[in-house]
Amino acid sequence: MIELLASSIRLATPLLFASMGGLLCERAGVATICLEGVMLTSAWTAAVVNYYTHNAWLAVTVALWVGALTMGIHAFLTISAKADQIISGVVVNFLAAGITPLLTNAIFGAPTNTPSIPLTDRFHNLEIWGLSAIPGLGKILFSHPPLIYIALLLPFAVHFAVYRTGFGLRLLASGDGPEALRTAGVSPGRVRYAALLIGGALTSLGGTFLSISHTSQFTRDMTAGRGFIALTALIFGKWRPVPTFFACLFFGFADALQIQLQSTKVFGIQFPVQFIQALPYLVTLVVLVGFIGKAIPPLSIGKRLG
Amino acid sequence: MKKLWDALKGPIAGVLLSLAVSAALLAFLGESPFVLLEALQSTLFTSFGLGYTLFYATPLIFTGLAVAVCFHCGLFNIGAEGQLYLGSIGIVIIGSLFPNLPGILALVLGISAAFLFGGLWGGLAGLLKAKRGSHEVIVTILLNFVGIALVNYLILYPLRNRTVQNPETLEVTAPYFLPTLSDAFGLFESTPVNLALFLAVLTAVGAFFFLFRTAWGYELRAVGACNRASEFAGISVGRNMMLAMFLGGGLAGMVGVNEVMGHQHKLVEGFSPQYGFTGIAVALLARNHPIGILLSAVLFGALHNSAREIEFLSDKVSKELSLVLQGLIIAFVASHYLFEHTLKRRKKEAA
Amino acid sequence: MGQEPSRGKLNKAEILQKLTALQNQYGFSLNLEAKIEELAVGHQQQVEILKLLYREANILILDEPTAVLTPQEVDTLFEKMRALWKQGKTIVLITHKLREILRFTDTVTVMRGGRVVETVAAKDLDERSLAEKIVGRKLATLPARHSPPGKESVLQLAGLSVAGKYGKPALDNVSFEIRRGEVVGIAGIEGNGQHELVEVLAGVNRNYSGSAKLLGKEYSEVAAYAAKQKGLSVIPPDRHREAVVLDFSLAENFILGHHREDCYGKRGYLSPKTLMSQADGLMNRFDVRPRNAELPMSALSGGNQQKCVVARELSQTRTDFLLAAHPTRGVDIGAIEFIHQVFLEERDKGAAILLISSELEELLSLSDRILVLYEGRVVGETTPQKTDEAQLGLWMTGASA
Repeated sequence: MIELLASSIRLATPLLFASMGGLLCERAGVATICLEGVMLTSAWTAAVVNYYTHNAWLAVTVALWVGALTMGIHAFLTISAKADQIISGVVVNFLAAGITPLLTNAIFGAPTNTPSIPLTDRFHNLEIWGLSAIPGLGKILFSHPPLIYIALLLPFAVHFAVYRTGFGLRLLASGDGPEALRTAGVSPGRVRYAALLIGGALTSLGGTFLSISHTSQFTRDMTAGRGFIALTALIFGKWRPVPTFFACLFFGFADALQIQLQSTKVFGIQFPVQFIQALPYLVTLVVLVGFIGKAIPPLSIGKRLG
Repeated sequence: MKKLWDALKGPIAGVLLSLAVSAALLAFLGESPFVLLEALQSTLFTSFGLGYTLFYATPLIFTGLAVAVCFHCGLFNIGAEGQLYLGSIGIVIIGSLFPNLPGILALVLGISAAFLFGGLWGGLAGLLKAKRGSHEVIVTILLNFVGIALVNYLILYPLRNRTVQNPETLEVTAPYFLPTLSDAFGLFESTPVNLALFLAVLTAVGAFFFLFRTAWGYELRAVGACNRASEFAGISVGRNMMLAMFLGGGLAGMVGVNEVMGHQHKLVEGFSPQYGFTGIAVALLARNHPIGILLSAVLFGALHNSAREIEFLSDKVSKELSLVLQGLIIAFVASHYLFEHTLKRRKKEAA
Repeated sequence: MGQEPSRGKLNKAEILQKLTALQNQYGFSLNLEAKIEELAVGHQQQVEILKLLYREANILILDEPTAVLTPQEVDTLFEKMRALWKQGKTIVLITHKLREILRFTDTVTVMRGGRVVETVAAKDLDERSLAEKIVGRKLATLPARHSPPGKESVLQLAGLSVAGKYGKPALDNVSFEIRRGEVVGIAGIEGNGQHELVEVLAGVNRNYSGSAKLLGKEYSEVAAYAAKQKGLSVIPPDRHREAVVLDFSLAENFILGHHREDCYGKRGYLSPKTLMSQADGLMNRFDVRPRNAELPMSALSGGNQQKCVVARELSQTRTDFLLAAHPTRGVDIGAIEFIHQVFLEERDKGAAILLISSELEELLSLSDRILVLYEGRVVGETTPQKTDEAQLGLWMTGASA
């Protein structure tokens, strides 16, 4: 049980990063179905940088820029080129899904995966002094690699940034009433650029976590729909940071459960692995359809700026 | 003539620009930048190459239409990938239930099964959108994962051909076979392109007629263009969304006709090289026009075929090149505003 | 927004203090802690002006500031602006309401087709001469009524109620009827149930209690599409979102709501030829310009778009009941004149007309009877002969009749 909960937190981490990055973008009025693509390029970058430089933090930093750059394509297409936001998102996903195996192939000779990063170069579990010794809880909350702590604190930081700062005010206005923002003398296009670049950087941490902390290499399409699950978590949380946080934990739990079920029998029956693997998606779907009801998105989301 | 040129010049410019960018990418990867052009030439202008290109184009016509019909109703169908597996397994299921039907009946039943299975899977997303307001993009993506898992289960357990190692189903019986063009007319020898190509072309013409010449198509497009105005005109928004997603799913399901009835005669796990997602690019390049989709499907068929050929010939480039190409083409076509705007400004400055 | 006092964390106290000082200086009395959506529209408009003052603007540009205000609120607003004017601020007022221009401005610039036509001193103008400068030709007077309204009741509402958003009913026990050849006007500040009334009477919302009958048939029992074939014509309030499909061609827009009729081709077939010839006929009759039925609706001016809507609604079938919500909003004076004439022709042919408008002048000149809606209830009924704008304005803010 303790292992299940600790694993839930680990699996919720990429979702947390991606949904918080997505939150900034969507609250600024840009639909981001390209969280998937942003995670892919940054996962690839982190794996390669960590492999060659033996420095995990450097990998995080470079991947941060690559994530912002990838989301920057989305920003350019939607804001400057006035492309449809969903279509632009598809573009980014296509490019990311194509370019990462192409480069892997060019550098390492096969498109499927990058070489494994040696254990010594990777992030280690950070035992928070004293707290990790608490029986049960300590293992669940206080014995993780560093990125997980950042992920757990991120929603609260985002909450502060969105609701308590001038930038947050502009961000919300850019999503709910870009025209009002424009008449106030602030360019909503610029606010959206800023939001997307920062959002892309946050999302990148999700990809980085997958390739150099959760596993030790980049594999083709390793995000496996997590970008979309993060998006659902965002909708489930009604585009607010703290409820989204809990939604991510819930989806992380569903994923952890899925992995555990693959090796255990339930009521003496071993379910076919295909069904179990589909479980997180099914749970997401049921949540989306059954419990969310009519979520009201930021008012101008999906709309081009005039 | 001028109208046709106006419609075509954007997509053509987009394709040319994408080819130029990918040539640069090839050079960056250490490959000759002309390798793509060479591959394109052989996939379009040799009988063998064109045969394969048309074989790949056939499913792309179906998935392109699957995306376009939904798009006309204002819905973004990213679920064609799942829907096409459902349609394909539908043929195998019907084929194994009724193995001894007379020829023509088997063909009709097989095609209907593909349409119906895919259509119901797509219609499910439409139902959820209409009744629960769930965003169809996320729903269809999630249904892809669930649908493909379901089909894989069916392939691996109840319908599996246990005499072979490969995860694939039992074969359907001969009445369900669609002949290849090489068998039927002696065209495109030793390539798998088959009569499903004609079915695809007919379907595209039918889709055009439905969308632009019938009251049902009119309603569907009205909902897509402005659903509030449609309500005031007495058009049911929900019903049309469900219809569009059903039709979209059905069209995607027809991919199975090419794959199962025309080519393999069985369903192999993971057979689709993302036909469903490429359908998005096919539809966008054609600006969702059914007849344009015929052309753009052939182009993407050729690109896919070329990427495979390049992967075979080169150790530096893998077949994912076609994903990058698709992304670039959509990007250029979708940002036509930028080009038109810059062109206008140039003209103004010149004047 | 756009003028946050510092980077980083917002200092709310500092902002409040500055705003209070401004309120005192210019005589505003707004509740600064309220959310915008909780304020009356008149107060929202004042917030806009306070915002400009907070930004220390010297030139204030107001684009149709009174469109949704009652006559009394208009007076308060202009009083505040007079005060600003006295303190040396320059005010540019863009409006289609001629009376406001004559009452509050010094200099008038008339624009037509994107060009400045003339700049005149306001004191040299009266309403008619200003209107004629705007259209660029002489205006006709509206035809007088030929015969009194008929006896047959076309629309009957009895105890009609529709649930609203916050527990309060949006429409509360509304009852009235309209007879053949009668024009009934609905006055009221927007958001007092007009929207819900339109939705029920257009057949879009069937989720109501009480009774709403068109020619003796209950609305909830007839499909919206079928009702449109049986003498119902609707001009929805929001032209771009509800009346036309901007991306469709004119020809396609002309059949919206009638697209299943057999005259366009058999069994659901739509013949492009028939569509085009019908469109050409309508465009000639209703003088829609430019005369090219293949253009998308978005290529037309507001006035021509509205002419298309009127053409569609009044040409297809015999009109027994015309529901016209804000039919002349955002429409040039020439088209307004035309639309009013068409309405009165329909009235004389025996149509019952329900006219919902925020232009009291329009209501007073066209209606036989005027009802006032306030918070979903009919709070007053009168005739144009017995009332004036000031009286209606009072009722619209809830003062009892």
